[in-house]
Formats: sequence, structure tokens, C-alpha cells
Amino acid sequence: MTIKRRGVAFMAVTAASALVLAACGGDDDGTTDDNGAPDDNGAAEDPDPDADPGDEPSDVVVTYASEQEFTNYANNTSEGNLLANQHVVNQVKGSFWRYGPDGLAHPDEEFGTYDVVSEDPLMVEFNLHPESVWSDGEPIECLDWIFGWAARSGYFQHPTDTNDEGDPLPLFSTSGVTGYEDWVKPDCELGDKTFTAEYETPNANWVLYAAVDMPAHVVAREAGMSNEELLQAIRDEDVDALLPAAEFYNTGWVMAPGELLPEELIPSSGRYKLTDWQAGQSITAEWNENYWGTPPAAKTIVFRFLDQDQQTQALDNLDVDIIDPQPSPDLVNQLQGLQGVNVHIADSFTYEHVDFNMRPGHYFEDRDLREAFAKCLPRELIVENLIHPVNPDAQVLNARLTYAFQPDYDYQIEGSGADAYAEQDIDGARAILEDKDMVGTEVRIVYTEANVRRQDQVALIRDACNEAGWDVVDAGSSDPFGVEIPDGNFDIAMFAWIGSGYVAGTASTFMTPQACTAEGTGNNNVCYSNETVDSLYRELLQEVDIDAQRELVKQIEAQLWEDLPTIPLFNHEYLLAWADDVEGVTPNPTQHGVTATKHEWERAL
Amino acid sequence: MSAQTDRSATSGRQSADAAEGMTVVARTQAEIIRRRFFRHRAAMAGLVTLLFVIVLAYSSIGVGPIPGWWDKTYMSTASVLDGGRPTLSLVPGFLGGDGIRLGEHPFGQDNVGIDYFALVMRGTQQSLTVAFLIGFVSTVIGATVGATSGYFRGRTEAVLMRFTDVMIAIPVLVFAAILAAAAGRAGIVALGVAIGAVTWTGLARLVRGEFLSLREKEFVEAARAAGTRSTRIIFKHIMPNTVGVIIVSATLAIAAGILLETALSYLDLGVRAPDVSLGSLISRYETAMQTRPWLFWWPGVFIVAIALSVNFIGDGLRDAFDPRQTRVRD
Amino acid sequence: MAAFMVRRLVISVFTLLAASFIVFWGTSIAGDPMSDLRGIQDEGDAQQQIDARSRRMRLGDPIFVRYLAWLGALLTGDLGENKFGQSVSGILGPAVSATMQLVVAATVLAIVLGVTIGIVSALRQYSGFDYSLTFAAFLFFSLPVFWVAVMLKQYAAIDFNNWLRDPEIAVPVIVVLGLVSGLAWMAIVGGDRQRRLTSFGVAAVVTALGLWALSASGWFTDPGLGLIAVVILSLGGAVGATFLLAGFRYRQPLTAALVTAGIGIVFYLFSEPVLEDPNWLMILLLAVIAVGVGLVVGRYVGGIHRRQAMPAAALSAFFTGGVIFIDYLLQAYSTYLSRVRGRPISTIGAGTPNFQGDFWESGLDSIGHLILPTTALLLISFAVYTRYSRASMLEVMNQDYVRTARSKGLTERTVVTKHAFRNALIPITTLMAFDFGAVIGGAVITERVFGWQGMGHMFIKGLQEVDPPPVMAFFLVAGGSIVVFNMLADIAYAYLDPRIRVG
Repeated sequence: MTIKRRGVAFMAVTAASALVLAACGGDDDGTTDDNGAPDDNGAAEDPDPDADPGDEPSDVVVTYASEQEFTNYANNTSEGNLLANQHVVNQVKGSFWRYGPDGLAHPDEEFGTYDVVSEDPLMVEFNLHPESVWSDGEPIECLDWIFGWAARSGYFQHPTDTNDEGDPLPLFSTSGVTGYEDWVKPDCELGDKTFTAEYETPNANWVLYAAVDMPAHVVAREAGMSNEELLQAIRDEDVDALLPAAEFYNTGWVMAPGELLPEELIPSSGRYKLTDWQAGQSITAEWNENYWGTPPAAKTIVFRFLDQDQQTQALDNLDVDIIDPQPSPDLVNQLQGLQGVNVHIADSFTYEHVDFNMRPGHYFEDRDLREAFAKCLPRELIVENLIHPVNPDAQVLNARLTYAFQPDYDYQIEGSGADAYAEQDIDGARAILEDKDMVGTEVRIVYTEANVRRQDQVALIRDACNEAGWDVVDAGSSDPFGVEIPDGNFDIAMFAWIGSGYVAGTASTFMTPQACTAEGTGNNNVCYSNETVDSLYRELLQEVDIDAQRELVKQIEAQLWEDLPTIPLFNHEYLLAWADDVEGVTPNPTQHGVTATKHEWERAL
Repeated sequence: MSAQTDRSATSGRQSADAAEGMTVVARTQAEIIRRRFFRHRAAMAGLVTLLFVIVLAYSSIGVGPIPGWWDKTYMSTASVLDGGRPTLSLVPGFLGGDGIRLGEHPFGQDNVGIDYFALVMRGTQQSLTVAFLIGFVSTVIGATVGATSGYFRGRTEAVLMRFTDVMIAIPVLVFAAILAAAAGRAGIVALGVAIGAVTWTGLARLVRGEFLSLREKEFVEAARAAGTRSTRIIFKHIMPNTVGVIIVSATLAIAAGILLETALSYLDLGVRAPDVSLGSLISRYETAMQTRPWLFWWPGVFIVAIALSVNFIGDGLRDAFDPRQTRVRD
Repeated sequence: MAAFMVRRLVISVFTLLAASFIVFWGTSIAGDPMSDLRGIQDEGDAQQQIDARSRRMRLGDPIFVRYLAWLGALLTGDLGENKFGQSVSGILGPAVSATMQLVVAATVLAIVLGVTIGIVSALRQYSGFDYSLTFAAFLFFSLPVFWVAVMLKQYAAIDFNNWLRDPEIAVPVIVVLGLVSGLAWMAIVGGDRQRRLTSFGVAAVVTALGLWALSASGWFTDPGLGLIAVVILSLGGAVGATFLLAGFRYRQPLTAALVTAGIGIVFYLFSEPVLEDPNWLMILLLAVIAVGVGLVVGRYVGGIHRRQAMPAAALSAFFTGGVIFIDYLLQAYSTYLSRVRGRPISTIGAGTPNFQGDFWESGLDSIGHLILPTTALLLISFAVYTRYSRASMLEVMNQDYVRTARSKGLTERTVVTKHAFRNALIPITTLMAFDFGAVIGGAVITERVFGWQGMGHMFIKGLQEVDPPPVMAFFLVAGGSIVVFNMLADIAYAYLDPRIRVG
């Protein structure tokens, strides 16, 4: 028994080390992973799709600590949209792409390929792998794709349910309609592995919208329809016929802790399938033997549910192998002090910033006063005192649309006007304040309290800017997003934006809001408005060409440094630690997280 | 019920003690209790420790605008020396140590170079404040509710006891957590009052029990017959007879209070940053146990020292007020 | 009496109702239920989720209306959904069972150990043992649970597991442990100076030699009792059981106990087929059989003293069974160790995920996971029970009927076990009822420290996420049991103490 197991394991290690080597090679330039370049041309160093199906993963368990328990297999509904769910379903539900460490979509060409076939109108053609099947044996096909669009686009409206304003709710619960709402209603035939999406307006981020997600044949079965009937109902826009399907889609995949649905309800389309869930303890993913491509490196991946505070000692005791807790100086020190543990610290896709209240009548409507505050901000000191203890490589962030660790960053800030604020200039700030006769003006900084670091930031800002003649007041609040910020009851708001590698998401932050009211501002909390920025954004959102996108971003950034609605401070840190007998761990600061490539995890024997 | 007889029994024993000195000294009840308390060695050790901690905490960094003798504050940052290691040394030179000295930062420094001794002293002050507030508030409410319902009986009792039942139905930590989630951000005074306002139920029941039996005694009957007002009977005649129960319970409430505050701060529901308490310090530096153990140990040592000495004082008080437990068999 | 109980029940229901509104209201105002959705830059998507959640939580309605809606659903047996749309009753089930696992073991151990030690401490009042115990109890009272828990994880799990890689006990450690053991036994045994010194010397030397032998023989990598240890322990247990329940004045009880232990040992020799991979039912059955055998042996060997012999033999049988049980557990240890990469003590959770082993290996797995949280919870309850049982025992020992029993010429053993002990237990039983709230509170912290997702976790998470339904479910269970326990205590009081008026 033991001997046999070892033999298998040895073969698997040989296969897996090849994968690991590929992963390491991909890491060097930081822009690609093992599955190919971030752009979509399919230039492939990806594993051979027709890999020998006799390969098996090695019989080892790798354990990851997850703070939150799993709740929902349908993680693109508004209920299910939690990072914890995303991390579980990574590699369980297959996908045309996943976020790489660079924040860009990396295609998974074992699942399928997709590319632009026409730029005007924008058309994207999808080709599923010919052998791709759900783990219950049903092929992955057109119906899954078209149902994914129907569910995510908000195209269908609920016949009876409305929101408080009386507007109908979407029939299918969705975490967001961005992208899919721009599709011309798609069509294809049952069994198709190739289909094409057409955009009504070009979309710069078309690469993010691939629709295939949940098993549509399960939806049809649970709604008491055949696959044909479901497809026909979507074609005919027959909302009544779709109601039971929507009912199941919205609630049927919600699970109570420990009550994993039977396998026929949660078939897998990826390298793993969920096999066991102990409430409050762990959820287990095992190799999906019906997966058509290269098998994963480790046969079993276990998520253990564990509060962040407990993760370090659990790693030290090898109760878990991989952890990614919120970084703090002590945590980093402690992890670095542990024997046999790798620690990775880098920037994340979250950045801290201060926003000036530019609502009509507020003194920060005056650009010069914003400049006077920007000049006294101790950005260098904040990074030095508060960020360097965690991440010694951190720098002051000088852009709002690009992160400091992205390859394009240097290009974007060059000549953007950021260097005017690179050095703190207390005298300059004071000169403006005296000139405007505004010395002693009170500035209330609103932020979410119970965050020690932000309190320290306010303290540092207060020391510096009071010297320049401001009167900074710490106005921490327990619910700033519910009360102070929508009401405009602040002078400066300080918080962090969670972004991605795609700049389109920033549009709502900087484009002119509908109105300067609690409901109207949306993400543009400060009520910033500039026609140049608006038109640049309109162009950017529809620009498919990457080089043209870069130019537009650069122009927007420069205009923002001219207008100073917000000042970026620094990138939040990303921390990952793992036991050093685990290989193939690729740090990934995006929302897909380190689990995006869990199929490469392997334990050295 | 047996309080009266007990008292006479013990004063009898006290006179017997005194008889050994060949003189008979008349002592009041209070004197007897005081003497008994001061002879309780553990309680005295606790009292000395507690006083030492209080004096240390308040004299070192001062209170409010009044500066203390320690030259650093719990707010001012400085550059971190020697990885923030403590400079306190208790091993004398001839044993191979560095000699007994405090050094620059006896308890070390935290992340941003704040002197950890000053910070722990600040935490101690805040924890003591919260603990004493809890003790005070819960004692006042508990004694009042217990006395009123035990004395008046009838509808008053029914209403107050049902109210007490409602409070008891909610587990203390849960109730405190819910209140603290709201009160914590209003500062430590609000926190102390809020926790005190949910921890009085045990005392209320005890006091009510005492009142139920005492109100039937002859001396109360006599006072009532003489036309004494109810409030006067409660506070002048009955309350003094329950003072033992109340004082002991107050002491234990303080000890429980400091631990409850610690627990809440650990759950991020107690004292909020930038203010610190001993509990929030431990919670903050839980992960530092291996790398910078002094950040984890010092606040814990102070919590244990305070809670332990208060518990011993409470034990001594109980023995002093109710000597049955200390009587040696045979 | 019936009327009293009905009245009490009605009052309890209203009590619970009022308390539930307080909890609901407190949770609803505790912060921003959307905090996890703030700061996501893709505005449309985040807003969509905020709107959906706001509808699900009915945030447009006043808190009181939301409470009524919750109450209405509750009356139909529906505990509602949390803010992620999961059914709360589905979350509650596993949470209750996790918390029970955690709390029951700790409470039972705390009661058994606390009462035993408290009573010994009362019998040895003002001895060194009594003083050390009083001090220890106060120390345990004064320790923050999580502070202890962090230390336990560091020293009893991580460092202990590391030590197991090369398990040798250093000589100074052996010396210190020997001295500690000597002091403890000296204090427990008591007596004059000569006797104390003897007990100190014997205990210290035996402990030190024992530890040295275990260390040198590599016992910690492959522990086990083996036949010799099983025999010695079983016979020793028989003598102890006789001492406790019968005394040595007559021969028959001791004979009965020893015979029973002998039967147990014979069973042990041939137990392999039965005990290779049993289940709990079988273990329970064997325990019942063992006690039955003890009773039968006591009945026939005990002769005229069968009333003492039967319990003594039964206890002896039970103890022998326990020794055999432990021996089997230890036999499975080395296999288990290799399956958990040599780290048997876990810092988190209730079991190794996907662990599949025979009965003994799974048993070890549970022990390895339960040992730390149980210890942490135990320390505090243990202190409470020690203090109370000590006080209660002292009180009882001063009663007139104990004096009477002594003056009748009964032995001290009979006085203690037959007359004092039972009466000392009465106040302890009511303490158990009132202690429940504290146990729940302790579980909230312990669960958090040891990564258990039980009821305490459900409560704290719900409170922090400003999500009333899970908090309310927790409250229904915790508050409900407190009310029920209080009611039972009231009724029991009224029943037991005729001085309390009913009505």
C-alpha cells in the first residue's frame, strides 16, 4: 500500500516539477504566468491541451487558511459575491481567464480561447476546448454561455418584484451588469462550442466578459425544463417561463455551512471539484477526474476557516500551509522569524488617498486651497513611518489610475505634474493660506475609525499641516460611508479604493456626477467635475487598442494633477506566507487571490 | 438571617482574644472587621500590590495636565532603539547580568517608538478607571434595585425583579459586547458605565434576599412603629446590615470588570484606538509574542496583578465580614 | 405548584421577548452593515449589491418594524437569513454542536476535578496544599482567557510539537518536575515532619526516575502502557476504589475489587479482536458489562459486606476498563503521529480535515484538537468549582450532624464520604445552573482564539457585521437556556426548601 502510493507520488512529482519550473519562469518578468501572455493573442507557452490524460496529481494535501466561510456556488449573484466564495470556486468553476498577479486577465487556454474578430462593431469570438465537459459528463457549450449572459446582464426584469422606488428588479440576481449590458442579445445553437458576442458600443475591457460560469443544464433541470426549453425561453424573452430558472439561480446554490449540495447540483468545470465541507472547519476540493486537460499538481486542496489573528500560529504549527492575512508590522516580523516559512510582501490593488470636498460653497472648491493642503501633506513621512515597517520597498504613490508596481507606472507619471508635490512645501502652503487670508481654517478629516494606521496618518497630517496654518481636526466616524460622506459633511475624506488592473472602474470616481446629492454623487464623493476629464473617459471606455488607452490614461492623470480633486498617498500592502515545503505558490494581490493558481500548489516530499 | 447571631458570636471570640492580654477592650463592629481584615495576610499583600500599581500608574506619567516623574509620554514617538527591546534589567552584575537598572525604555518601545512603559501605565490607568466605574455603577444600581424591591415588595418588587430577569436572560458578555459596540466609541467612561449597567443583577438578587429577611426583624418593626420614613429605614437601619455583602460584591465586580473590559477589547469591542487599555494592548500585540514578547507580557502581567490583588482583597473582606469560613475546625 | 410553574413559564416567555428586542436593537445600531462593500471603485457593481442587501435586510424600515418581521417569521419557525442570504437555521445547527463539543468536555472535567480538589482542599484546610490551591484558584480567576490561550498555543502546541521531533527531557527539567511533584504530594499527604519528608522524598525520586526512564526509552515517540503497567494500574485502582467506597476494615470488598480487576486484565489479554476497531456504542456496552461484572463479583465475593463490596468492585471494573481504553489509544499513537506529520497537538479546529482512521486514531485526532481549548475553558470553571466546593464542604463539616456522626465513632472516611460529601454537593448543583451564562461567555472568546466556528463565533461575527438574524439565533439559544435554567433553579428551590413561599 505504502510502496504503491510512493510510486505514484514520484511520477506525479516529476510531472508537477515541470509545471513549477514553468511557473517560476513566468514570474521573472512579472507580467506573465504559466498560461501565456496577458494579451489575448493566444501566443502560448501554455500546457499542451492534449496532455496525456494518464497523468495523475500527486496524492498530497495543501491547506489554505480562509477567514470567511463559503456561502454560495453562484458567486456572481449579489448574495454570492464574496471574496471567500471566489477563492473556493477558483479552478473549480473553469473560466476563459483569471486575474494574474499583474491585475490583468490571463487566458486559460485549456478551457478555451477568445479573441476580437471585428473592431467595428466590436465582436469577440469564443472557442471552448472541444473536450470540455462538466464533471457530470455534460458538455460545456452554448447554453452555458448564453445563460451566463442572461443572468449577468440584467436584460430580463422581474415581472412583480420592485425596489423601493418602484423600479422592477432584475430577474436574475447579479453582482453587476457592467460589460454584459453592452452585448447585443447573443444567440447560438445547443451543443455549439464556438459562439460570438457583439458589443453595441466598443468596450475597452471586453477581455473580462466571457459569460460562461454556472452549469445551465442544472438550472434547466431544477426548473423542470429541458435544455431546449431554457434556450428557447431566453430567445423568446419569455419571462414567465424563465421565472423558475431564475428562482433556482438566485437561491438554489446558497448553502448553509457544512451542507454541501449533492454533486449533481454543483458539477465542476475546472481542475478540482468540491467534495466535503465541515461546517466552520474546512472545505475540501479534490481533483476532478473528468477534467480534460493537464491535471493539477496536488490531488487535494483544503480551505480551513480561521480568523486572521490565529493564522500565524496555525502556520507555525503546520495546521495550515498558506496564509494571506492583513499585514501589520508585528505580523510581518513574526512570520519572518518563523522557521521554514516563506514570506512575500508587496503592493496590493488598494490605494489610500485624501479627497477634498468640492461641493458648491465649500472652500475647497478653490483649487489654490486644495494646492495649499496638498503641499503640506507629509506623504513621504507617512510612507516612511507607517508603511516601511511592513513593506520596506513601498514608495509614495503618484497616480490614481495606475499602481506603482505596474509596468506602465513610470510612463504614466512622467510629466503628469505629480513632481510639483513630490516634496513637502510647508512654506508654499502657508504663503497661499496667507494670501487667501485663510490661516487657521478648520479641516475635518473624516475616515473609518477603529483603524490605528489611519489615526496615525491623521496625526502626522495634523502635525505637518497645522504648521502651515491649517487647523486639522481628527473626525473619525463609525459609519462615514453611511453618514458623513454622502451628506457632504466633511472637509477631507480619507479612505482606500479597491481597484484592479483595468482603469475603466475609475470612471465613476472622476466623471461628473448626476447631482451633488447623497444619491447622485455615486463614487464621486467630492463632486468633482471637469469636461475634459469627462470626454477623455468617454473615449477611454470605448477604446479597444491598448496603446491608445495608455495615452488617454496619461491625459486624465495629468488633468487630475492639475485639478487636485484627490491626492493619492500609498499602496496598501499584500502579504502572503507559506510553508517552504509547499511549491508552486504564486502571490496574487488581485481579487482572485493566491488561490487563482491553486492547481500549481505542490508539496515537496 | 443569622447575621445578628454571628456578629455576637464573633465579638465574643474577639473579647476572648483580648482577654489573653489581661484587659478587656470594647470594640465596635467596624473595628473588629478592620482588625480581622488587616490580619488577613493574602488580602494585605493584595492591598499593597494594588496600591503600588495605582500609585505607579498615576504618578509615573501623571494625570491629564499634571506631569508625572517619568520623562516620556504615551503619545510621543521617538526613533526605535535596539529593535525596541526593553532596557529593564533585574539581574545584578555579580550574577552575570547587566546590573539592576531601568534604562531608557524599561519595557521597550512599540512600532513607532512610543515608550512602552508609558503606554502600559496609560493602559493601566484606563483599565483601572473602567474597572472601578464598573464596580461603582453596578454596585449602586444593584444595591438600589435590590433594596427597593426587597423592602417594598408587592408591585415594585414585581416590576424590578422582572426587569432584573430580562437583564439576566442576556449573557453578560453578550450584553456588554452589544452596548460596547455602541458605547466604546464614546470613550472609556461611557464604556465603564455601560458595562456597569448590565452587571448588577447578581448583587440585586443578593441584596434583595438580605432585605427580605431583615425587614421582618424586630428592630425594623420598631423603627416602622416609631413612624420612621421608608427611605430612612432602608438606608439607616437595614443597609448597614447588608454592607458586608455589598462591599464584597463590589470588590469582586471590580475584578470581574477588569477582565470583562479586557475580553471586550480583545474582541475589538472595548476601548478604541488611539486610546489604550491593558486589554487592547494585549490584543494588539498578540501576534508579537514570539518576536517582541515584552509587548505581549507586560500588559498581561499588570492585568493579572490587578485582578489577583483585587480578588484577594475581596476574599479578605468576605472573611472579615463573615468569619464562618475561616473558623478552624475542632 | 402547577400554577406556580405556569406563572413562572409565562413570565419567562415575556422576559425573553423583552430581552430579544434589546438584543435586536443593539445589534442593528452597531455600525455599517455595508462596510465590506465600501471602497470598491467599480461603482455600478458595488451599488447593485448594496441595494440588494439593503432590501434583504429591510434597511428602509424602522428597527421596530424589522424586529416585528423577525418575530413574525420566528413564530412560523423561520430564523431568517443572514446578510449573505444563508439560512440562519442551517448555520445554527453545526454551530450549536461545535460549541457543545467544546463546552461539555470542559464543564464535565471542571466539575469532576474542581469538586474533588476543592473537597480535598477543605479536608486539608490551612495546609500547604490548601494555600497553594487557593492561590492557584485566584490566579486562574484573574487570568484573561485569551492571554492564556495564546500561551497554550505557543508552548503546549507549537513548542511541544517541535520538541516531539527529538523528545528528550533535559536533566534540569527532570529535577524541577521531581521537586514540584514532591512538594505537591507532601502537601496533600500532610502529617508530621517525618511523614512529610518521607512523602516528599519518595514522590520526588519516583517522579524523576519515571521521567528519566520514559525519556531514555523513547516512550514519547512510541508510547504505550503494556501488560505490566496495565496490571499495576488496575490493581492500584482496585485498592483505591476499595479505600474510597468501602475501607479496609473487612477483607471481602478488597478481594472483590481485586478479583474484578483480575477479570479485566484477563479480558485485556484476549481483547484484540473486540477492540481492534470498535465504535462508541461498543465501548459503552463494554463499560456497562464491566460495571455489571463488578456488581456480580461484589455480590458473590462480598458476602455479608456486599453493600460495600459491590460499588467498590464496580468502580474497580470501570477503572480497569479506562486503563485498557487508554492503552489502546496509546497503541494507535505512532500511526497517528505519522499521519499528522509528527504534530499531534493542533492549535485550531475540531479535527484534521478529511481525516479517516480507525476508532483509536480518530479518538486521538479529537483529543489533539480538543485538548487546548478545553484546558483554556477548564482553568476558569475549575477555579470556580474548587472555591465553591471547598466553601460548601467546610460549611457542612461544621454542621451538627457531622459532629454527631463523628461522636458515634464512625471513621473519618465514612463521615466524609457518607455524610458530608453528598450534602456539600447540593449548592454545587445550583451553581451549575447559574454558571451557564459564564460558560457561554467563555466560549465566545475561546472559539475565537482556537478558530472554532461555533455559536460564539456566530454571535461576534453577526455583531461585527451588523447582521441581526444570526445574533438573534444565538440569543434564542443562549438566553433561552439561561431563562430555562433559572426557572428550573427557582422551581427546584421552591420544591427543596419549604420555607420559600409558592405563589
